[in-house]
Amino acid sequence: MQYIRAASVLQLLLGNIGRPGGGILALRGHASIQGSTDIPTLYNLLPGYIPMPHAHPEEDLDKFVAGSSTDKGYWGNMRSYLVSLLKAWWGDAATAQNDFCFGYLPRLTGSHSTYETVQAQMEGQVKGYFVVGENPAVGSANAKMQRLGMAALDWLVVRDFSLIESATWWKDGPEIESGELTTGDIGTEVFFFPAAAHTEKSGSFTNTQRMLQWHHQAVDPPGDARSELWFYYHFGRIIRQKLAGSGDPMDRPLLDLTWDYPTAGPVAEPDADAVLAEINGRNAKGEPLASYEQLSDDGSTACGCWIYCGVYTDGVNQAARRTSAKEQSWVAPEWGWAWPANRRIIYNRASADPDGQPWSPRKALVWWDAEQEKWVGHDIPDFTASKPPWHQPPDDATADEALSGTDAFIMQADGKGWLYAPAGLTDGPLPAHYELQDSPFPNLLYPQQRNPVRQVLPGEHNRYHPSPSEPESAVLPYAITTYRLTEHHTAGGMSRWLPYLAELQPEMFCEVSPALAAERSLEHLGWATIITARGVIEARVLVTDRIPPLRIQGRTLHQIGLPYHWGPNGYTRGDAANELAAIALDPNSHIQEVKALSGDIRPGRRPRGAARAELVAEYQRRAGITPQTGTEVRDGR
Amino acid sequence: MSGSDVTKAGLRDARPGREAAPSGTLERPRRRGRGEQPMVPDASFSSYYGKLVLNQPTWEARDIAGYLFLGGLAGAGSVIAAGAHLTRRPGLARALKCGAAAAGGLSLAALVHDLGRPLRFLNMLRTIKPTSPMSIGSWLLAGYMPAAAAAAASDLTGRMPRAAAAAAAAGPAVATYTAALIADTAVPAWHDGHRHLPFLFAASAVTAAAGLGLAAAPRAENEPVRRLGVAAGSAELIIESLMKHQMGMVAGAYEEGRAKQLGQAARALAVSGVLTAGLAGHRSRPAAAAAGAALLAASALTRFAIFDAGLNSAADPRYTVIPQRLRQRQRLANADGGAAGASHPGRAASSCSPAPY
Amino acid sequence: MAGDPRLLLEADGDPASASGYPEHPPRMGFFTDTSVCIGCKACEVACKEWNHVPEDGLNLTGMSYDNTGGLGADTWRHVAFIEQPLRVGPPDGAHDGAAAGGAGGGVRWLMSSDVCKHCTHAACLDVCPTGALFRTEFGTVVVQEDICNGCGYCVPACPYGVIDQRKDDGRVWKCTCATTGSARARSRPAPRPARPTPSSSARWMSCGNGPMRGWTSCTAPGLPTHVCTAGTRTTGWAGTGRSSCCSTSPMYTVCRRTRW
Repeated sequence: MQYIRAASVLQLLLGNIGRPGGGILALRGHASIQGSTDIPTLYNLLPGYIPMPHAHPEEDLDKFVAGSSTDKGYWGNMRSYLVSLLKAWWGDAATAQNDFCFGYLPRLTGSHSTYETVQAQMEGQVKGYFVVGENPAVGSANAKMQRLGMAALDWLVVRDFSLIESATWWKDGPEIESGELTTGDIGTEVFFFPAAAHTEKSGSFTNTQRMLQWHHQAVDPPGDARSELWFYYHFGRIIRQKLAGSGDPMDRPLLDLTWDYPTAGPVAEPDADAVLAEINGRNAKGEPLASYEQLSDDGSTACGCWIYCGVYTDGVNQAARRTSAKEQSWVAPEWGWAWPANRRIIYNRASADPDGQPWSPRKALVWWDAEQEKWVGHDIPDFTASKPPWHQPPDDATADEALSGTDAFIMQADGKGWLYAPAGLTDGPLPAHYELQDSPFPNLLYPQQRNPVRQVLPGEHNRYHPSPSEPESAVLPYAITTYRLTEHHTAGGMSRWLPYLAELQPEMFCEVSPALAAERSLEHLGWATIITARGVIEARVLVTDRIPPLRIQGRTLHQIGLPYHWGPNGYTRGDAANELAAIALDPNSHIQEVKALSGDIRPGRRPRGAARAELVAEYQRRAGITPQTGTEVRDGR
Repeated sequence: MSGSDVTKAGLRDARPGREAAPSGTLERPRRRGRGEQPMVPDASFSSYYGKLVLNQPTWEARDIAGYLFLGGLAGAGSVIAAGAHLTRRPGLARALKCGAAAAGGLSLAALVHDLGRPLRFLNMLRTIKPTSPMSIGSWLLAGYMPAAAAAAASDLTGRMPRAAAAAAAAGPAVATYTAALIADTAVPAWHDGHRHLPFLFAASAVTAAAGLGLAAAPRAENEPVRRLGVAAGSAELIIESLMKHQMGMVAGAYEEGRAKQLGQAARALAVSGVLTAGLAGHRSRPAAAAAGAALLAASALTRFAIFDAGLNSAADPRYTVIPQRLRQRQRLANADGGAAGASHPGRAASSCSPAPY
Repeated sequence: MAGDPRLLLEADGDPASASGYPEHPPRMGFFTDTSVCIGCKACEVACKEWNHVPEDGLNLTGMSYDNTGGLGADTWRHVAFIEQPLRVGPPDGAHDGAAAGGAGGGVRWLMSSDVCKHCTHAACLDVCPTGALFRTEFGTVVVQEDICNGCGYCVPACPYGVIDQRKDDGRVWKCTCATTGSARARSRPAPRPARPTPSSSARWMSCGNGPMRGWTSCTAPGLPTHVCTAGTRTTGWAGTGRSSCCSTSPMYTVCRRTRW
């Protein structure tokens, strides 16, 4: 997080935002991760980054909008975006009189991030869980807690291509092997639904540059495998069927949903295009909208995600466009569709100077055409097209009309890029360097070792490591860094089951330098055991110069490289790196810190059975780890 | 980083990126490698993780080395049989004609057995390809085998007395084409001996046939094969030695493992066979038989030794790469007229040492 | 009669014509630019999927990230990985923050994708006695699996160790240049972009332009497989239009090119 913020600050200082070749393009984890926050799978967001409401008493639509939107900038139109969303979901039932069914939306009662949910599972507060296209028993921090959490559920639904670790932990997971759990004593009822692959269903991907690309179904899914769209549509249909005729007001949110997607084919697959059209939005006459600027807050427009408005302009699936590179400019506006409004570089007003001409003739993207009195260029201007560069808004203007002709950062309330962020972030207005939760080194820049507002989840199974100022930290002296391999994908559900990928990287391994191998008697292609306060795993050893020791403040720090793809199921099997990771979350994004941690390594295979947990306990003792270790908010060296 | 200009008119001067600099300071290696060409191969040679460059022959020693021996025996046997026939040595002629036919039949069995798809052996005759010794050889054998069988049959039945001539005509080719066959591969121990191998195989084939004659023919008729055995056995030893000398470091493949043992045994048997045949082969039947057996065994073991040496040389990448490097350096040195410091656009590089950049 | 003897005599024959295709499409070649190869192995996987080549063993080799090992009957594309230590300028010991110990100056990680070269003078083709190996009209060398009787002569003949025998099958197998997809390419002339493409290693070479900068023909006898030429390790071979490996190569590492 600090890196991304620092990079943003740097690029702003260099004037590299909104210009060709500038910006920051993050290398994401998978093909539609951007889409998974746009139409969110995140607990605290509604589509288009509208915040999810909290369970505040007497918070109606207006109060919510007042508290969440900005007076100026495009977020000033939040009411339109939200009302249009509510109309998309509840259709005719959503009227001005009932706040457009704003009351139907679920409410947050705190942080329901995946990790806090796991904690809530372990405390018995969660009855059921859907695990869809994810494999937390391998891919989430603290794999053991993930499984213990699932073991405390009443029911669990898993949808995936194969019987991933998160579906079978109850009979062959590490806790069964060690005896910490017994299959017969686990009360969770586990349902497994085979899932269709992306070639077996239609839908969209949204990649890191905000581009939606449609994929068409090429073959029918085999056997009982079904798409997520099929699953959720029919799931909803069946629930509504069972609730039909109910007089209970609690059932109205489900019964009033617009749930009338057309289906086709032998398994009644819902039409994905129809869903996209709903996301795009319609006016009162049912005609597709072309831009979020057409959205209104009087209930006359419906739109499933305001930033996606325009993807179905003129009733044509814009995301499915595949115009060849030879037939269009290098910007390629006719390949797929990017939000918002097919603008390929956001804030591209910043590529032109206050007079509307490109800062550099060699980096021309959009510019003001005085004759046509509008912004033109290679990209669609991320700006009101007719607003001249010299425009000054009246004092009482609101929303986008409050932005001047040089306010390129149109989503910000003041239209400016923020080097210093006075609001909106939990930790601080400027990026700062903090050491990791489990770091073998003190913070060399500040007296504050760790981010003071990071989220820690103290617990018996989530012990943290001592601070480097404590002598016991030498028990876990090495830096472990986790990473990905090209040949495998995330938690392995999509790659470790395929022979052609499995043979490219056939075993879990760790990578160490020759110096570390010598220090710890590790042999190339031998076995190593890696230990932290959370768990112990084994891996084959690759000795390489690519993971060099670092020299910091006169001390050598050895690194251990760990790919994180393996788990005990599949064509290629191994221990999961996430057995070692603790849950410590970034305060803004609630993302786990697993890229680096501290730990120890020794030669040979790990212990089996009860001895496995005993080894971890031994390390906790030797390192002097208590329930308070590592949980300090403010700490010196 | 790749670069280009984005003007109002559009993209201009797109430039492909150069290789990104890796971590650490990359110093361009000094150009000494190009100026001075060491003539001695690197002492610290290693191939790509020591892996083989070539694929190992899939042939079974028993089948193919066995065939080399049997084919040589048959081909040379037919020629000598014709000679025996013409010089009225019926015992010798019969022994060699039957021996050639039997060896020919066993050859065929061995070859078919070694095929990955034995039932498709007739596909050998789908086409005739001058660039393939095996194709030529298949046609040779297709003509030779029936002729050898007919020669033996005619000797036994008295009919078709000219059948032996046909077998004899094909004999030399049958006996030596196998040398071209194994030399026309990338296997260093075979390919690098391609100038000597045909003569070696010829000598070895005559050694074997002479050995058979000595062992099976009446003493009164064995004078020609006694002399042939001495001459061919000696020639085999000399030519093999010449071949290995000319091969340079590749000859080391003949001095490893089973190839070394077989080679030593073959040479010992050849020497004893030559001596026994030369000194006592005309005097006593048992001595002749012993000499004959030794010469037969020598020829067989020679083939097996050569076969194993081939496998050794294919299994160790040194034998492929070092001679190549030496040849290339020689070529570069010749091209430069021996002058140091010439720049040549191409240069062989070890896969595991820093390459000139 | 297969195998034109003129090929024996000419240094640079036109192999497709010599093989009986006088009106053949332009000869194409693969240029594998190892200076951009990122070692993603998409070429390996695509080849296996397209040609139904079996998985040939889960085997951690310890050869950097190369767990494939080498070419063979069940591996027709092989990406080699080499970790090459770099020399640092004047050696003065490690600095704070810099890599210490081990290689000292860092490591250069090189990848190179290897494949059958479909040589102009293909040894496997020359020695095949059954005619199972033949040259197509595109200049590629292909095994006909319904004819091969597994004599194995081509296996030691190949100087690059490409072709090999499948033990449980008896026949030999090797890269086919994915000729299945080439019919479409036949009907189009080799496209030549108006300007060089910016990010790929595209270098179009048509016949008669002479060798590429520093290129030495891989088919010249006596040379090792990969000739490092002025920093660009290349393996060139005669092939055809679209192939599964070039289609998936994300860095255009494996590019369809006209042969020099």
